[in-house]
Amino acid sequence: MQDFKLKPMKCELNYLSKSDGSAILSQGDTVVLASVNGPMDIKTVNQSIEKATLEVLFCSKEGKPSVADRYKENIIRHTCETAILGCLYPRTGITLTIQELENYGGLLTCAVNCACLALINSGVGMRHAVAALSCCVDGAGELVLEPTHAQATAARARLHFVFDSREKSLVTGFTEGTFSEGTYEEALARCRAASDLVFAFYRDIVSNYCHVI
Amino acid sequence: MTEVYKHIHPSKYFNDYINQDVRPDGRDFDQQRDVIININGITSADASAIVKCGNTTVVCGIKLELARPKAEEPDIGFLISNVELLPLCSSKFRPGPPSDYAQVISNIVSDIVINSKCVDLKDLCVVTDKLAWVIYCDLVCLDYDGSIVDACIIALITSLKTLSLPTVTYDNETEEVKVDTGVKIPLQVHGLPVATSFGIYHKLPRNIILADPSAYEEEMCGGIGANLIVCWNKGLFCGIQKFGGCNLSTEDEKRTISLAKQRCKLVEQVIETCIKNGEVK
Amino acid sequence: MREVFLSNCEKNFVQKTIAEGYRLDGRNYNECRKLNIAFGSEYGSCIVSIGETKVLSQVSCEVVQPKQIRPNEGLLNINVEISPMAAPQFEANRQTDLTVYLNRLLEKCYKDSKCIDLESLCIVVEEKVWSLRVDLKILNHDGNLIECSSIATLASIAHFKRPDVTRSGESIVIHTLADMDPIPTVLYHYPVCVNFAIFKNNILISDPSYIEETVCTSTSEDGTNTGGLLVVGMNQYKEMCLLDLTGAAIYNSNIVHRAIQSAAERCKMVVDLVKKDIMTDDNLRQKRTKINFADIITTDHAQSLCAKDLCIRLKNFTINDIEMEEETDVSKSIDTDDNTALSKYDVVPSLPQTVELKAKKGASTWIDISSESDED
Repeated sequence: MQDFKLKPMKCELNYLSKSDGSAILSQGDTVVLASVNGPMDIKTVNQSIEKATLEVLFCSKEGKPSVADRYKENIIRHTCETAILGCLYPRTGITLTIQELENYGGLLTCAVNCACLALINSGVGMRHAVAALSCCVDGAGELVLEPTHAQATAARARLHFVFDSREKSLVTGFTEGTFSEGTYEEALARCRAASDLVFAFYRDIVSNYCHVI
Repeated sequence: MTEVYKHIHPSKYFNDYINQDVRPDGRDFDQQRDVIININGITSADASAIVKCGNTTVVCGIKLELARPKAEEPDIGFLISNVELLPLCSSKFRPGPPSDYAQVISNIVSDIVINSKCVDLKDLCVVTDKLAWVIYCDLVCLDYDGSIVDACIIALITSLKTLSLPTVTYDNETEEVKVDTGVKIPLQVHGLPVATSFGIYHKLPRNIILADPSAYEEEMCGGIGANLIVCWNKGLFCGIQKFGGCNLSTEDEKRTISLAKQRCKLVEQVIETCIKNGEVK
Repeated sequence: MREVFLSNCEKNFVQKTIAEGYRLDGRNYNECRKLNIAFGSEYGSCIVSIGETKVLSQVSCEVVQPKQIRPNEGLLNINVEISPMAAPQFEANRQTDLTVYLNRLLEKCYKDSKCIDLESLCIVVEEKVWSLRVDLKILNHDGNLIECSSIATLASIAHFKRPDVTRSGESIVIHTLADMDPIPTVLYHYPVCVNFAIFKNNILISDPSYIEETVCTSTSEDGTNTGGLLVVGMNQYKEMCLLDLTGAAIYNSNIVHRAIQSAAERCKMVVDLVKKDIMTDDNLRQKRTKINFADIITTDHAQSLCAKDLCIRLKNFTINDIEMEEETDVSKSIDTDDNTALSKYDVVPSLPQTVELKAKKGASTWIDISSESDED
């Protein structure tokens, strides 16, 4: 197995004082801030008798909210809904707010990772942690793991995957561009192997955090 | 009696069917619903198609307009698609501005069309920096019964295939535009992307893959919308989207891909036969 | 917006402590929390924090058609957004009174004060002008939002640079940042909104925290309201451009006078800091140092709050001290210049300390309780 190199990651938990849990995460030059509030009381219309309602809000840095933001929210909401143990908190709501700070490629994967760290920080019961990774196919058909901004924009296709921490099975996946079946399989396998690094990083952060307390 | 059972114990009702290796509507797990396509049903539109996948019905109408291209990209035209989920198609949707879900579906559909590169936007430019075609694709759902993306893509591609652009002459000096609707050139459509939705039902010891899920099945698999959408276009993927739901193992994923390929061939045949029939008339 | 309830005991406690001359976090009446400005990688993006209150600001620009009545002026839009990130009681995509209030005050302070040279934003008269848009996102609401967002607006506008434009005949060419050096925005003066909380119609408190803001605008037990929030907008030349009062009417004329004097000093200090920070940032950029919001993530401690939270500072006082403090408090309003002693934990050195600092008499001492484990 070859060595995987991910972009340098930096994280700080509890960045915000008013939220129940928050995290700021940088992956390379991309920086995202996430905050979690809840479980708390919500309007009766939105309540679900089986599980907690997860509301995700993605705020871009500038401009008005757009359709693309709704799509990102949808991806993050579905991913986090699988990760959290919503059935522990029926008839309540959990709000997850994500604020983009810097976007130099890999915004969505960084947002998913940051959301996961914020959820861990908030103490909401979770089935498993999630790790998002991206991968792109360059002009020559070669796979590049964790591409830089320039590589990603020039790429023929970009693939993003989210894995769970227990069985490393696929939680969420989304792609842009066209690619062959073989490429897909290989990209999936590589990202899966590299997800270990992300989980190791989570572990470091959380153990550091526990030391302090 | 079964209706009552379904309402009281929705998940147990569904589980009972699954345990018998059959789906509530009588299909096998990997069996898709019938696809019916009708073209040029709307005479006021420049091209149109009506698609029925089981109960899910989507109408696609295409309207052509001329506009000035963007200053940054003076040599390309526009392809704008929009999906509307009105209250008439399901009790889940409320009147008012487009719901988040409708926006997400719109985004997925337009992403698939852009990624598959089935329409070269440069073909839509008439005169660089002056005039280009805008193709407005309005997709309206009449009946929502799951796998909406599949039906939208079929409707959209079929109508694009039947679309032909009138010839336009542009006078550089007087800036006069003449549109000749008598002579029409069919729009070049490269490839034929077909999307296939799957629901993944959580069950021990292994998860169950449901091809072409209905709205009820989608709900049982964790909320509104399909869990997995695979889009295959002439030997290449142009989008694999998985949204949460149950986690997918490697073998399940291979199965879905092979199922998507099979379905793609079938749908291609349907679309092509339909267009041929239309031309004969 | 969900309703936030304030318990009577909280309210009474805060009112009482303030009347006795103390604040919950150990500050003096006119002492502000730590002000910090961090710039992002793009021009015109910054995060400003006053204590735990954090605001993100981003300026963006686009070419638009000017308004018919002002064909040679650019446009400026300020847009404040409060998401549930700021505090749990806010709901997504919902305008609250607070948003409207902030937006209006900022517009008054930056648009109506004519601090920006809008004519310099004109490209072609009656056809093309630059439109600047300031997007403010409240990240954490711990009181004094108006001051924090006003500093964020000022810093990001002053930091922002728009792409250069050249005209060739009828068409215009917008150069990318790599092509040609971008142009900074021209500011005639630097206005800042300074926020004060008024208690009992007599006590003036700078930089109120969230609970102090809530308490001072709420009615006391006997059903009367004697407090409020006073916002003073002022530039570095001590020229006022905005005065706004929420809450009870003031019948003590002295208080406004005190507020304005205090605001003038605070403004000068803030504007100096903004200018200095932009200068440092510019120098760093010229040396091609990468500046990114990632820099605000500190790795020396895993939890950012613990350093501040576990470090509770307590005042050791006796009943005699309180009396003395009240005496000195009155003298404070008369002359504020002869006190040059600096506060122990306010990083801003230019802020003069008030009389009630008991260092001379030796009655007041500080005890630091900080977590030992933080460093390891």
